[in-house]
Amino acid sequence: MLQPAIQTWGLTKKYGDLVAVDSLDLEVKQGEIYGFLGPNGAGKTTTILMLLGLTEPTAGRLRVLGYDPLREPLKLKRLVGYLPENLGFYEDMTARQNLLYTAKLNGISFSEAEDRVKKILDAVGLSDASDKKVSTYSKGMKQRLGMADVLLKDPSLMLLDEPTTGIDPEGVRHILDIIAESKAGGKTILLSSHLLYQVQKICDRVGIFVKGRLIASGTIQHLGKEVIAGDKYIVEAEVPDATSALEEAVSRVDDVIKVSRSGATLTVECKSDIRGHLAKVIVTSGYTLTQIRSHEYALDEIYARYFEGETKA
Amino acid sequence: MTGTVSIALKELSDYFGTKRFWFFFAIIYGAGLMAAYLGIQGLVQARVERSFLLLFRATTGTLPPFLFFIMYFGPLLGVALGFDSINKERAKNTLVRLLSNPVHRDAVINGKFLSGVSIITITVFGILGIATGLAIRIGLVPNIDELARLVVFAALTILYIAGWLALSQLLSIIFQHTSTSAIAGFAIWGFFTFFWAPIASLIATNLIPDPNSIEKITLEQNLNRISPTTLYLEAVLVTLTPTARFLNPISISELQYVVPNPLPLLQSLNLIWPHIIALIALVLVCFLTSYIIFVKQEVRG
Repeated sequence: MLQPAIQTWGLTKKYGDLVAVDSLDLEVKQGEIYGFLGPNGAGKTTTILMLLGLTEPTAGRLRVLGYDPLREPLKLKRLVGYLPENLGFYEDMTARQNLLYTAKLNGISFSEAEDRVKKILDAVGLSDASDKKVSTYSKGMKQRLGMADVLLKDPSLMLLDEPTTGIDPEGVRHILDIIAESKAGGKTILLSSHLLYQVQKICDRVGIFVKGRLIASGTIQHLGKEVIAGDKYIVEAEVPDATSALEEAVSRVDDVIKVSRSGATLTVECKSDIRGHLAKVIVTSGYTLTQIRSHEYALDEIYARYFEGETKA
Repeated sequence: MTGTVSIALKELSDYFGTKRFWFFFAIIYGAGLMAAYLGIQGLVQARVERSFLLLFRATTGTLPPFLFFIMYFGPLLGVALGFDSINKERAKNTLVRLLSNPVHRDAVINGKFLSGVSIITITVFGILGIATGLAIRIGLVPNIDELARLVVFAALTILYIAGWLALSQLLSIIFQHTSTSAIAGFAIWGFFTFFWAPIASLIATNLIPDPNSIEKITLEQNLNRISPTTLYLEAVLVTLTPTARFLNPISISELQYVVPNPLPLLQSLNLIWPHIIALIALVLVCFLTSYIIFVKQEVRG
């Protein structure tokens, strides 16, 4: 088995009394996209900075690509591309000059760097603006330039802090495409976000991070089913002519726990996947069934549930 | 090391690529002409000595000699070059991106210092070159010893201004805002340039009331030497004055044994080694403190 790209044991960071990251056990496999989700101030950025060796942990151990970020920072930084949340470039320099500088710092020879910069600016769609000063760039363009800056050193691991925040939908799509392409190229990606619906499409697994603690980790499906609904299945049926009599009929079916209706949508909580049986019951009762499906968990929902729990507690 | 050089070259091209270059160009040209003017005016008035080195320490009576201008305003060049070196990158969010690349943190400090020292070196040699050129035009040709002294003068000046650069770089690490570090830099400059001498005098007078005693004069002088400004001034005066043979007060009875002929350069240097070492030590202290603080500092995006 491949060793994980990122592994932490009890990783903790305190700022005085404030616990920014609270004994985090995180594992990110090689070649996956891991979504690090949570509200602002949950400790996502602090965690990423510790993974890079830019911030020293208060306690705990971590391995990133087999290295200890504090002991061998340079070896690690050669392999990791980092997109900071507040991205800054040298504004008096052009996009190309900024990237050439990054290439130089990474020890890439000038002739190779020129070649790579050209290709990468093409790939992120900035080749037309490559000789303009960065001060003239829009937020979306800067973000794409940031992605170019990360891709330039051809990293094995990409740490992207809020890559889609603050840019228009077109820009978001563009960034997500770039990320998906990088995954296809065999890179491991950890991205943090508080905008869940934007990133749930591309994440293989997600971790939900609230107040310094990782409260759940897994695929979105897994999180929805196991963690929120317990062993329950949720089936949604579209019945345009539904009445309360139908509700009652459905609730008498075996394995059904609870039925609720809003307009034409019937939501049925049940112990197992009894969609076939439910469909039969609805139709034989003389109603029109236009659609029946098992409920897909949106990350927002999962996240809202967790967050609710947090505020109640 | 590659990181240091890459960063230094980038910083240098920053200076040359922008309006700042014209600013430095104006300083070099203006100061060079001023040095020549002051020197030549002073030389005309000087009756006794007509040496090339007098160019930099001659006074017209109304204006101080050129080396005083360097002593007073050289530090401002150092502060101007360094006050925003780290905190500007922090404010523009480029620091965290820079440090996510395979460069050590000390390479950032070293690279920026190196580029600053390059600018200082170019400036100092530019000024002295213009002044020397004009001096040669009016027939004041330096001999080998004078030329060597000129080089030592240049080296001392670079060291002195580089010390202020190192200090202002340290301030740019300590303070988050560029305006704060600039103000702190100017405040320290003002303190040592204008206020330290009266304070030293006050302390000495209070400790030793007799104003003419040799102990009081020595104490005041030593207190003054805490200031890099005094260290630089004494070192440069000895360098540019081949006949200078002592810095500390001596009694009239001792004075009668002094032969007033010029010393070779190495003998002059013997007199100011402590000053040179002290100036170097000041640079090193600033550097070491910078390293220690910067390595431990939190860098966030």
